[in-house]
Amino acid sequence: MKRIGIILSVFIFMFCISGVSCYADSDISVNTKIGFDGKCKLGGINPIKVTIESKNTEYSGRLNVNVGDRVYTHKVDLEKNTKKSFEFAIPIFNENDIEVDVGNDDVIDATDVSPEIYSQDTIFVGILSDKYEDYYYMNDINILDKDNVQVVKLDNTLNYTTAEIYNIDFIVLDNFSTKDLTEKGENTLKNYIKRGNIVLVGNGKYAYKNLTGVFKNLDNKTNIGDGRVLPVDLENKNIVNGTLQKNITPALMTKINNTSNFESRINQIKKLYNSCDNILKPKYSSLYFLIAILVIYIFLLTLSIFIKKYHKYSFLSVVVGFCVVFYGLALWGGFESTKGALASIKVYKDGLYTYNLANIYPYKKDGIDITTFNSEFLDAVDSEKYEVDLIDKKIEYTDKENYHIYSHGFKDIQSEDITISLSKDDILNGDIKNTLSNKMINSFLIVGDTVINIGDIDGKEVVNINYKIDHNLRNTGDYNYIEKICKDAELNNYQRDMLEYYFYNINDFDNVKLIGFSSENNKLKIDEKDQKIKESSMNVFDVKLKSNNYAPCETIKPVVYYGQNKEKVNEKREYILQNNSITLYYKIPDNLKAYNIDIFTKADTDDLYLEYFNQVTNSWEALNDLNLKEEQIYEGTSKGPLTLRLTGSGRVILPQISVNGLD
Amino acid sequence: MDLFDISKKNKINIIAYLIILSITSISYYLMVSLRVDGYNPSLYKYGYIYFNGFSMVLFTLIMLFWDVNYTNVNIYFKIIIESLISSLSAIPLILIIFMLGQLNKVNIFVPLIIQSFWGVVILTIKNISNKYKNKNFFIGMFIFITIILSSVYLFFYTNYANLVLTTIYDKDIPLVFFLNPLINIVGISYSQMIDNQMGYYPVICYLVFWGMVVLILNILYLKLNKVYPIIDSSKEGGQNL
Repeated sequence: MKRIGIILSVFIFMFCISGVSCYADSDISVNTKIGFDGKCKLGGINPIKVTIESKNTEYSGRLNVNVGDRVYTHKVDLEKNTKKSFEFAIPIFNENDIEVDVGNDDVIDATDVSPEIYSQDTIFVGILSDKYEDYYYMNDINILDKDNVQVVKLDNTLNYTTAEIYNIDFIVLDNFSTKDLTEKGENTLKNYIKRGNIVLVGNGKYAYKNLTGVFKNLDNKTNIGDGRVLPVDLENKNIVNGTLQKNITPALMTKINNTSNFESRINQIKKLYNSCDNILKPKYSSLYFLIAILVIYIFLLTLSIFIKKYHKYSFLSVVVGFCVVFYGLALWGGFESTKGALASIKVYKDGLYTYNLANIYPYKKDGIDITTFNSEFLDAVDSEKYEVDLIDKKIEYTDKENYHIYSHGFKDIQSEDITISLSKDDILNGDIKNTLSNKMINSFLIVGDTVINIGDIDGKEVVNINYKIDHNLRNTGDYNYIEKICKDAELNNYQRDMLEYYFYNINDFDNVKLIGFSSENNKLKIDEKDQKIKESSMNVFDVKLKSNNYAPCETIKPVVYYGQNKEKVNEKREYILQNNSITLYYKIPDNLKAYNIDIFTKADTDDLYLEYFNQVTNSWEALNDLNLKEEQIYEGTSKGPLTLRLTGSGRVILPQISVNGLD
Repeated sequence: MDLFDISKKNKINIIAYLIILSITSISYYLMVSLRVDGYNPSLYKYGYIYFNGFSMVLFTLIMLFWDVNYTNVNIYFKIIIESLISSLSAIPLILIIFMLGQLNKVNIFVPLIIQSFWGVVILTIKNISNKYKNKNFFIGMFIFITIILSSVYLFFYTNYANLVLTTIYDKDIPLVFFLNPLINIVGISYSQMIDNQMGYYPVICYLVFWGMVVLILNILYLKLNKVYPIIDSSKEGGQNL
């Protein structure tokens, strides 16, 4: 009996000292849920939910989330016996431990959160279901020969921002009551699909539940924006594999094959420093205005010599008066306030995606806080002493220096569609409308491999174009591509910087767009006061190309898989092969019944070898002339995207295709 | 009161001062600072420093031609007020630099006070030496020694003592050199815009020193001539008894 008692007490003692670290007398407790049910993707923005509960005491302090050596903080005010939860998202760039604690200078309660961090090339399959365990078998599917799949559970309310849900490669919806989604959840799902993603909806035994709400009356695959909803029998793994492969979208192919560039997107925003600062450059018009007032000043002074007999103090009063006038002008121009400027890339495609850099030049010696409007995420670049609050979208700087802030955001607004039509003999015809209310300068149109200079378009103005496309960007590498566009559109250095940032850091899957530059007013909250700042932006509009069964060169862009090498490839249009091979995937739209595909490429050496994958015989076949005829097209695209393989050594411009289809 | 009434000749002096300053600063903007690509606030910071130095030199020249024949007023207050008004009339030009360069606010009055103090000194000397011949020689030499010679000696001294100067208000420079108004004004502008090692200490020394000089000169003048200062100084001798 005594022995049992000793053993029992030892067990209880060991149980107490193992596991969770506890803080004595903690009336505040903090509870954290991170990732998609604990699973996070490296290099992405992952959701986190922190719940703080206070018993019997009020609490006023800070919540800190420590990710490696980055700290994200937020002010917390709790009454007695209340529970507050905060939902936000944090970037995870390294595999380090995450600690969430509550306290001011001394920690009151803390939890060590160890999420399961998966590598960047893991394919996350999001499951929306009432019974998540039934879908573990999805771990075994493979897409485009990648089998690094991980099944994650999605929150039933789908309360995720665009960057968070970007981590999910595709969604499977089964045994889920779609009509129970809130309006916000429905919008998240619809925007997710519009961006080119895929949702598989089970049409087996749970069809009665799945096909309600947004997916009511869904009987076969539907395209929404760039993505698709596929009703599929989820019981059969091979059917799921086959359906996914056949209906894959360029967006999904890009996510699977390329690693996320989120961290470099934040760092590369430094390229926009000069464009941002250029807003603060003094203009000739302001100089002339000030010269005019100065001339009036001196003129009135000379006049006051002659009217002395009417007013004895005219000279003095003119001096004092103009000092006051100039001081007033200086105050109006921002003499005593913090100066800021904003440079942004705005992509209008089923909503407005903005990527911004804010440059702030402070006025006071001690730190300031800066809150951005309409942003989903922000981070400080090139600074040392600051604290980021990801819940209020605020950065507190504790030291006087010049501040640079990266932020990105999404606004669910619908802009007018721009449509142009292309005939078979390459004549482009249509109306280009500037849907903004500001003037757009130096605008140009990119149609596949052609750049067309349009020039300045006033707000809401319509320009008619009738142009024979001349493929002037064909077979150009990265540098020449940008150089040709800048020359044709007459871009200055700052516009070129923005174009380069967009080209290298922001993925887009279609290549028909209207780009123009504009400047407008925006605002920031500096020290809790709204302040207007000027914004210089590059606007990218999606243009719908109507062409009779003809996809001109470069409107279908390849998605490249560079192999297992861990070095990041920076070039987008060219590659230097070193006795290895790369795989290229081209998704040909279903409604284009292709009978002829032409391939365009340029290589520095002859040591290159191009083949295509025959999906009927499951083997690689050589491509001797840069052309695919009807039978080869059928073999190459019957079960999935057209797959080409390039082997050899030397510098090569990535092959681009143009497709002719049957009428 | 007639205290604030500036004579016509002096008004023309002020207007000439302002016109030359305006033309120079506008040429600087048009030919130098607006031609530079991009945002360059340091151009405007240096513009402010050069402006203050240049206006100091020009101001000295104007003060040389100032008309100190005052009637029916208290000469001391009159000198102070005229000097102040002529310095402060350049405020709009200084504010233009701030507006174009989007610079942060500094206390623009400090260099102007230094400048007007210097103006008081010159005007006092002019007033005292009004009846002596060769007065222009002495005033000219005085100005030359204070401004130019002491700058040259500063240059000699930095080489002699192997000084490494990081800023103009540097701790290694002996305080006597800061009595030179040109060095002081350029130094305070530089410390406002860029870097500051000594705070306002040289300014205070300067003000105290020249204040005492003015005071002593005036007392000596009174004692030597036993003349009550308000009477027109063109008359010889004392009161009519």
